[in-house]
Amino acid sequence: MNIWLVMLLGGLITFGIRFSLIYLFGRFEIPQTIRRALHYVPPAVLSAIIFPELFLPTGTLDLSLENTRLLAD
Amino acid sequence: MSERFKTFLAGIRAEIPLLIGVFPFGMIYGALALNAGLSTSAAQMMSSIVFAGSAQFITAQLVHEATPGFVIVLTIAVVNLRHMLYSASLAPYLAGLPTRWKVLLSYLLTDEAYAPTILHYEKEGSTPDAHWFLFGAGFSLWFTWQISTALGIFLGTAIPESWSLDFALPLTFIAMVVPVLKNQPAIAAALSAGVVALVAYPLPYKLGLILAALVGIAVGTLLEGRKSSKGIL
Repeated sequence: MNIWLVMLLGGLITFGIRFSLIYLFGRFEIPQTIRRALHYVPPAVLSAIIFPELFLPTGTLDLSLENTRLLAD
Repeated sequence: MSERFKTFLAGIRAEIPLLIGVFPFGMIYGALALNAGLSTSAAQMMSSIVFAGSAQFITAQLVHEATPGFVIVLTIAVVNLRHMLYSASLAPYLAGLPTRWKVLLSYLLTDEAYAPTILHYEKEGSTPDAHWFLFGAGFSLWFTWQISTALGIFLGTAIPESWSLDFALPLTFIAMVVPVLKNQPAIAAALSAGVVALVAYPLPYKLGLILAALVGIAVGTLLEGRKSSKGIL
């Protein structure tokens, strides 16, 4: 497959993912549990991004003082 | 100065610490993409067509390994699946906007645009001009990503491999997680997601991140449900 076609399809799918629920919202009834669950997206996603960056800078768990990232926190 | 322009500028201001972290990433992407065998124009255009950092790094790597195109497209889809959570999370706030705004803001919806925006919405609520905040954050990130990609392509191999400027980004995200830890379920959601993210880190395609986020969301939701059924809240 041509690289331009790969990028175009990859870009369209990425856009589709980002647009999906913004587009669908309001077009059907959203259960109470899901509404409640949405409140926990920020703490869950943000710490899922942070923890590996902080504790696994080299891809392995590093809790020693050599890990300057822990000291900076 | 109009209210919407002020909100737009506030979005840019909130994005600045993230931009500082993102800039070296964009440069490294540009240099790596050329190195992986992409043409200058393909390397640059990927930053606007796909506009997703991790997916672009992985794509460059897969192109280098001569991976079949449909595998690359599928990989991009899986790596970017986490954006569906952002789409769900912001959807209630963007519900009243015209479709053209939803399209534009969806295109700009990255990790780095989502984080300050959801904080803004949770603090200020859904004001009529609030989407200009997301536009400011998203557009300044987009602009920075294009420029840094171009600079990386231009400088190419002149960028030292040992660059470790990625530190600014986690620090900024840490500053952002603190305000969302408002109650016990939120703290439990953050801790459980963090622990799962560590354990599931070896999973490919950022699946560890998605799994961790889902576990954290489930823990927070269950705890809140239990508390309210007991009448504590």
